Amino acid sequence: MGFQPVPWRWKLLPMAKKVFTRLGIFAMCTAALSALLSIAAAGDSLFVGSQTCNSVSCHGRSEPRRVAGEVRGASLQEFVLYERHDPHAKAARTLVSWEFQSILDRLSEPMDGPSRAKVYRQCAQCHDPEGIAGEAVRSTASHGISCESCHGGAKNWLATHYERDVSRSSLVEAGMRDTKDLHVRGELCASCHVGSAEKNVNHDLLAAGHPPLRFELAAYHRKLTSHDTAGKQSHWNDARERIATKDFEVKLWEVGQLASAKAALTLLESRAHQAALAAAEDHPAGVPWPEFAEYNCFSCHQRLRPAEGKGKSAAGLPEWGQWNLAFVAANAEAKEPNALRAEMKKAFSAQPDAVEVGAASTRKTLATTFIKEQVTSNKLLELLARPSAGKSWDALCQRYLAQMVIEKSIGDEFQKLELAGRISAAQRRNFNKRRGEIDRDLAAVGGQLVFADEKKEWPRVLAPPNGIEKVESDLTATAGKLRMLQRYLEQRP
Amino acid sequence: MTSLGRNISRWLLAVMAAGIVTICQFQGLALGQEPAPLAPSSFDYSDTQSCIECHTQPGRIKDSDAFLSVAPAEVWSKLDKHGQSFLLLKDKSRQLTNRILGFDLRAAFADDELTTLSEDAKSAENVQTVKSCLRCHATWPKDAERANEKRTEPVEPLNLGVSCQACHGPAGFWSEPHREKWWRLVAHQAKSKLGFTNVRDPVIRTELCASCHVGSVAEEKFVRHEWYAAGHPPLPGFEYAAFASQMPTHWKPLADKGDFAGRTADSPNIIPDGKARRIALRRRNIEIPEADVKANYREANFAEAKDDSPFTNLPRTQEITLSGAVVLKTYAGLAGGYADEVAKGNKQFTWPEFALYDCAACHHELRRQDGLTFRPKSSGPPGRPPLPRWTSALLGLATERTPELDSDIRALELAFTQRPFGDPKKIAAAAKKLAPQLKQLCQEVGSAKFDEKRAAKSLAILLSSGGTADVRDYASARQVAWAIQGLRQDQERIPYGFDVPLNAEQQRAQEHIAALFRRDDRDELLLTLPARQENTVVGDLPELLRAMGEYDADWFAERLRLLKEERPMGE
Repeated sequence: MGFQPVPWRWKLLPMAKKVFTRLGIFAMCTAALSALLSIAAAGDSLFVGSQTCNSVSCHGRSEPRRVAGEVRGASLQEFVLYERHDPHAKAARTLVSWEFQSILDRLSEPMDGPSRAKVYRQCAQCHDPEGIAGEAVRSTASHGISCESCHGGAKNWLATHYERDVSRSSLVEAGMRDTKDLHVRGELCASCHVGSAEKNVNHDLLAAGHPPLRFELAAYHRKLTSHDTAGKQSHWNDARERIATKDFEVKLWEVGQLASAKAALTLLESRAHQAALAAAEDHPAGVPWPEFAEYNCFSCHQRLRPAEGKGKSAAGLPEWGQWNLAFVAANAEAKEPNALRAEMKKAFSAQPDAVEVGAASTRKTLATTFIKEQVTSNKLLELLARPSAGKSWDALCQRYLAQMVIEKSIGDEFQKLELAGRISAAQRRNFNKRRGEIDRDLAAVGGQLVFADEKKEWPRVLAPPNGIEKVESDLTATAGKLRMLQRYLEQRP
Repeated sequence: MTSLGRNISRWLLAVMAAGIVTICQFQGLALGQEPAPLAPSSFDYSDTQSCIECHTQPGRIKDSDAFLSVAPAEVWSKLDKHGQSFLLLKDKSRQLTNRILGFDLRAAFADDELTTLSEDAKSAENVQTVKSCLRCHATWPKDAERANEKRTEPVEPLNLGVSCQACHGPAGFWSEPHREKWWRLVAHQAKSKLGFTNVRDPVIRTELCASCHVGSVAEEKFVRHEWYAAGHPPLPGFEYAAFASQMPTHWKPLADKGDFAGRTADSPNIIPDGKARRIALRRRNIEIPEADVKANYREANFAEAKDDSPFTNLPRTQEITLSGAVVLKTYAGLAGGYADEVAKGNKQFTWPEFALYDCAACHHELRRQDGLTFRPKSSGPPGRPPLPRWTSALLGLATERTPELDSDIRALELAFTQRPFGDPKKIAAAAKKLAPQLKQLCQEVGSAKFDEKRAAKSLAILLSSGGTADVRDYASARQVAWAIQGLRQDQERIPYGFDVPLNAEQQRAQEHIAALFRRDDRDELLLTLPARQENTVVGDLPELLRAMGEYDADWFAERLRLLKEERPMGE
């Protein structure tokens, strides 16, 4: 059963626009009324529910608002686009799937396991924040992830946010989240997609069937907006920022790396804190430590194979932080990440209290070390040229994703020159030829990094005759080609 | 040292030991006390060649009758691999051995022929490591160490591998008397005082095999994860009946033996041969009290049996059930023993030791079924390595279990998963609590009756095994498959043992049973073990890893369902 799009005939009915315009006034009244009712019901809660946002006169238009024939600023069809294209709209549906029931069974059936209600609540932190918010106002009207889950409880800004001269800062003060600020947005996304103290996808949850979290902000943005999929559109339009900011894509990537690292360290700190408390009470059943989810999955989950090569190959210790800290911690200049890394390297004997302190101090150093200057494609290419910290699948994926970011960024910058009329037809052909070659190479690398098939979560690169080294050298080659392309771009007037 | 020299030194030791015994006895008598116990026999090995010589030629065995209808040493020397277990380390897989050890095997030895361990203090650590290999790969049990003054000299030539005496016990004191027919009438307790291991006792026999094939910390038989990682093949989940019958067997179960002399009190030709007995005993200056010589074989060996069941039991049905209990007992002893050393702070025992957990807990390919994990459900929270699941796959057949035992088994499982890797103290405590109960269970299964009814019941349990074994796990499925085949063979009255002629009906049944778990004409679960001298576990490894990696739980569940339809419950 797939997502049901808005009926096609809506688009074809020529009368629709007129009808909606006429209905607009009525709808606005309804929206205002329901907003008022929600606010009245909410009491102390800041939550008002998405039904106050999605009326056709506000964010629920079926067609974008046009001023003098052009779409400018907010399209006012945000809710419709969100419902139609955004996977977040399906978050609540996950909780009624049999897959979820199976996870719930596995987690709550064991003798000492937590109750189903407790597990459900944990899941709802990410999958059903609306439901949790709704509980506070004794309403079951709304479920899943909706407007306020990200934009903030609207009680104090609902009535003013559409006013002409309202400032962003006053709205933020009133509780609206400034999602246009990339750092705010990145941290918001990472709070679920990486985790936080309350949102903890630990190894118990993974073993019960939850997919592992592997987040990269720029790639996830591309998924939401993906221009390659016909008609797919994000519910916001960042064309203005993209045009105004040089190498916007790289900026987005950098913000994402930082946000992911911060979230990962917050999560680790909280895990370690809980573990230290539990150890003191000698009742660690609910608080696993060591926390396997901190480590590279494939350190332990290796297929058994006959021993190869010469010499003693003692079982190694698992690698830590290969995904979320691939760039940030590896390239940070402070000592803290190294101290933390050394403690986590002890893997199964890492001490929770030492880890807690290390994670907290590392997180504090991050805010200053990684964003010293504007990050550009060039800078990122330099970063990629440094010897990489890990040879794991995770680290390779991060390198691949970073190159995808550079590829898009160079493309965007070239397009800007094109729009300015500074590119000749021959130059365009030349550029597209080079870019196409890189695309093919990167696609081949991506093909090695994906899982072998649907039933086996086993990256091809880990199965013979492929190998980490091969993909690594392929990535070095594509990085070289990207450098050439960047130089070609810079040579344009 | 030459072989002659070795023999002489062994004789000297034996004579010295016998002398000590004599003196002790004499002193005991002189002081008017009870005679001192017989000599500590654990190190008194006799020449294996003499075993082979007699047991290869049944004709040479005096009054050979229905009791000895096979030539065990013939099968042993020509087909069985156990005797080559040291040669495997030394020659066949030397490179692998060196890699696992991290040094050349030669470094632990005094001579190039690898007969005697080095006395050099510098290689003491290597020697200790190699010794622990030899506990399973040769005949050199840990308890033979205490008596042997020269700790570098093996009690048996290493090249003999796991020899006759590794299982049957050091024969120095009983090799003479056991040649006489009246030996059959000697109570097993009296025999074991002479060093004889009563492998006719199904519990002793199964425990003996499991001590290597599952492991034992007390006996220094333990493959560490470090060794597995360096290439030691994984120990395949041990199931006694399958392993024993594929060895191939060099013995016959009592049920398949004829009416041998001494079987019953009125058996013909059972002569308590006084003269022979006196001579046999006098040679080693030992005595067997008159009270320990019983009226017949059953009384001597199965005094506890309530009926004739030791002679009529369906052999595989009993062995399979017993194997389920013994495997768990041995494993719990291994894990508990290891955890206990850790809890005591013994630095040689590092924690966590991955070899104690279910291999597949980590080494699975993160397989998914319709987007979700298809791993067996855990008794504790998921995501923490449990104890090996297959060790309790056949426990459901031991219907002698008590509710208390079941709850204590769960307690052990939870001690493993309460936190990742478990708490060694809690694991040790849980295993300790479990030990006497599992021992009791083994004893009860060992003396229970295994007839057609029990076989049918066992089969029914396995075919509707949702509750007893989680067959989403390869190793557990293999246990279940082996057990089903064994039970069906018993039901079809297929004679146990190697190379026995089958009638047409048995032949048909045997072929049908052999094909039960074939898929597209392939041995899908690799139920055929690399037994026999022409095969090695190392050579078979790619095939085993294939079977493990590609195990299709849906297919197996479907097989069980079809089999159940084929043989409705209660049949």
